[in-house]
Amino acid sequence: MKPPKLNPGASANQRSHRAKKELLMPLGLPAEMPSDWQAVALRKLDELRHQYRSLQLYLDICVRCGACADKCQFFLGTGDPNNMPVARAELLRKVYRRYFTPSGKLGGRLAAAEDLTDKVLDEWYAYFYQCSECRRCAVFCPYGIDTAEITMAAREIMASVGVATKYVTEVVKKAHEIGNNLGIPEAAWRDSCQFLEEEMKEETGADIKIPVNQPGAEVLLVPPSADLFANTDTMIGYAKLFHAAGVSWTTSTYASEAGNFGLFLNYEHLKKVNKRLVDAAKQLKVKRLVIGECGHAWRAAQAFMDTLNGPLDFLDAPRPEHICEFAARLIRDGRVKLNKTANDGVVVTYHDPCNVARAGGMLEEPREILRAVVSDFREMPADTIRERTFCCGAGGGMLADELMDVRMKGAKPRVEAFKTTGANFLATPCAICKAQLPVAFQHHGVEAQVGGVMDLLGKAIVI
Amino acid sequence: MATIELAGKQFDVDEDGFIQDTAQWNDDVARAFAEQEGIVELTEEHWKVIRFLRSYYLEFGVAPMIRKLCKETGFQLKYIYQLFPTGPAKGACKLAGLPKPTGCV
Amino acid sequence: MAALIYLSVAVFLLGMGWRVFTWLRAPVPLKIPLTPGPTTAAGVVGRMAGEVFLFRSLFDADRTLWVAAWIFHVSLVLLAVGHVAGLVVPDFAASTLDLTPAQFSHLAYVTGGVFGILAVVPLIYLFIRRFTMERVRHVSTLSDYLALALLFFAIQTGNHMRFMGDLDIVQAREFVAGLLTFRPVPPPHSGPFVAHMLLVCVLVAYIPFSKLMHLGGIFFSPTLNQPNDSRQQRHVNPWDHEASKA
Repeated sequence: MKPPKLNPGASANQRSHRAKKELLMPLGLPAEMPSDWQAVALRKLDELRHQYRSLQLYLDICVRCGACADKCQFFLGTGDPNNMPVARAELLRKVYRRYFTPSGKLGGRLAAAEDLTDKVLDEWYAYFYQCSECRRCAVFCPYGIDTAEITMAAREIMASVGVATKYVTEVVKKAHEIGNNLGIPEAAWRDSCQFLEEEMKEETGADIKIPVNQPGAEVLLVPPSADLFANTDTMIGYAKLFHAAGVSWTTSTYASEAGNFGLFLNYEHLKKVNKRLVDAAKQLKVKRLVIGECGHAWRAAQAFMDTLNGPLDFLDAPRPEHICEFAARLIRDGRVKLNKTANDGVVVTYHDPCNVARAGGMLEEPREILRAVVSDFREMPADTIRERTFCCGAGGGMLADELMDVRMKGAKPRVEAFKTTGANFLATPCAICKAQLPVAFQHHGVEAQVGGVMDLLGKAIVI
Repeated sequence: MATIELAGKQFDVDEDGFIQDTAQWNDDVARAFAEQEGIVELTEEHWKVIRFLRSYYLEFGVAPMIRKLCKETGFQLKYIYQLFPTGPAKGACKLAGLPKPTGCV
Repeated sequence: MAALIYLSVAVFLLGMGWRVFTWLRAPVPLKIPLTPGPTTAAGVVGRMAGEVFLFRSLFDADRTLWVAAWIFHVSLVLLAVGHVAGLVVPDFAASTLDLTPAQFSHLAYVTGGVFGILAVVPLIYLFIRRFTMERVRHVSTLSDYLALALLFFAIQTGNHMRFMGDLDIVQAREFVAGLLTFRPVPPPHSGPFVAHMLLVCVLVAYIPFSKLMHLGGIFFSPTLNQPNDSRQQRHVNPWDHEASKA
């Protein structure tokens, strides 16, 4: 996409609803902004720069070359200069310079340093929640500066003074209290699994199970809870795969969510949400922990879980596993029989979810599966896939209705790339992408289906 | 907390206009919301969706799977979007007095 | 003059030392390599080499900028090497290259001239780019222009000496030798020489307080220098002891 002309303030009014005390307090965050909030926030910034080399370094070494500027889908879509990754990071850097560097302390505005004021905080709240932490900018930065690291720090600082979004805190609260983002209690979980079993029986005549809390199973599958709400074909795909390959598996009502919105809030909650998965795996005495089709879940699991809540040596290696990796292995080993003609008429392309590709390194397996189950697989242009994939536009805690305008604009680069393929099905292993892209397709006038890799695999598996 | 007046009564609602206390719900609330959502008239088909959503919610404490909603009402998802233009998770849940489903939806 | 040079070098060394210390004192709590990435230490060395010597990421990001940036940085390094060869160890350099002193000085004239020009031309481009490209202008700060100006004038005064030929190279060598043996002698009587030295002093002392410290920082960037081995090797967060005990 051609970079747009700068349109300052274009998306300044795109703001998530603020979390109120009913959501802040249960998460241990200040119910109201403290009167000395600047001091609290600056202490937090100081603490974080001592805890994260990435933060300290990325505050120091940016040369503002602008290589990242036209790589962010939110800048490409909105033209708002504060959505250029370099400018987004400067929102935090100018405060860092003001309070923590000699040039900023002495030079003030001349040194591009600025006091932490209500106005600055307001900018932070708008633009650090218009970053989906997708890391595309980092791929193109000559120093690997990852704006997601800056965004995460800024959100953690804001949270420390009681400034957070309703969407993210509400979801984290449900994950802690009920076990999943949608808030599906155990009885509903069981009812839903049973309903899908009946559906599969009707379709195939076979007794394909979706086990719940089954101790001693080989695999604990943790899906995003959206797979038991909107993306039920994905859930059916998992079930058919395990059934056909004869692998014993279970879901858990304690860890019924792969997604980790703690990642979008702060370290404490990232760790706490993540711990449920480890505890459930231990309690159910499974050998393998397999993560379902959820983008940032894969980052939290493959990159962070062992550090946060490990060691995971009670699991078979490699640990944990991605469902695409697991399925691709079963297909390679001939453990499932496939019939491509079940997907006749499907022209599929693969959208790499940002966290799966750029933070989880899962690039080949989903493609391998799609080639095995669909006869017409096409790629989007090379600079928009694999580690250079565009975010769907609503990752990182942005999938809230009130951000619809920036979401749709941010989705544009992805949708434009899709249009070049002539595909009628976009497959992607991420519940956020699956929720965002159908809306974006409709908004941008594209008629195509969005679904999971497992959806198509499930259809092709011969039972 | 915001409040709105529906059918002559005050209701606490969240930022997206969903009523906070589902026990306060009655048929008039659904009718008032329908007007907001641009639904001209609530037909028996609308009520079928609304009644199922409510009964499921009251039993399980959460909105049902969309697939189950389709199966139980006999309507295809496309048709539900025709009935409720903003969809089952937004418009239909709002009319039925359920809290807004949030998460990756 | 000599005092100023010693001072600027001291500021540079202490400043960079302090910077590196602030980077190293902060640990890397989580695995954040960009993936797909190398899984082994050797692979990481390869990735870093690609970034440091070839600016690989920038090559993908902005080809024109890459050309300018690469030529500039290579020229700058070669100019630095040339200064050492020509001013500090000319006899050694000449004999290593198997050249007579006359041939060596001729080679120095050509290479110094070529890379002197190859260094300033990209700087002019970078300046124009910063000024004319809307996106870059928007994020540019005074310090960005200052860094470009310092580099430009520092190199340009060197070019001036090279092409106007008003420097006594023997005097310059004696001056440098004096500095290195801590027995300073007066600098050559040359306006451009003094200007060149002053600008370089300011530049060198400015590095640790500016974005120019990217020259050291790149080596510490976790997204680039971490191996992608979180599932083979447990990574421990040093400030979260619960994690390391559990």
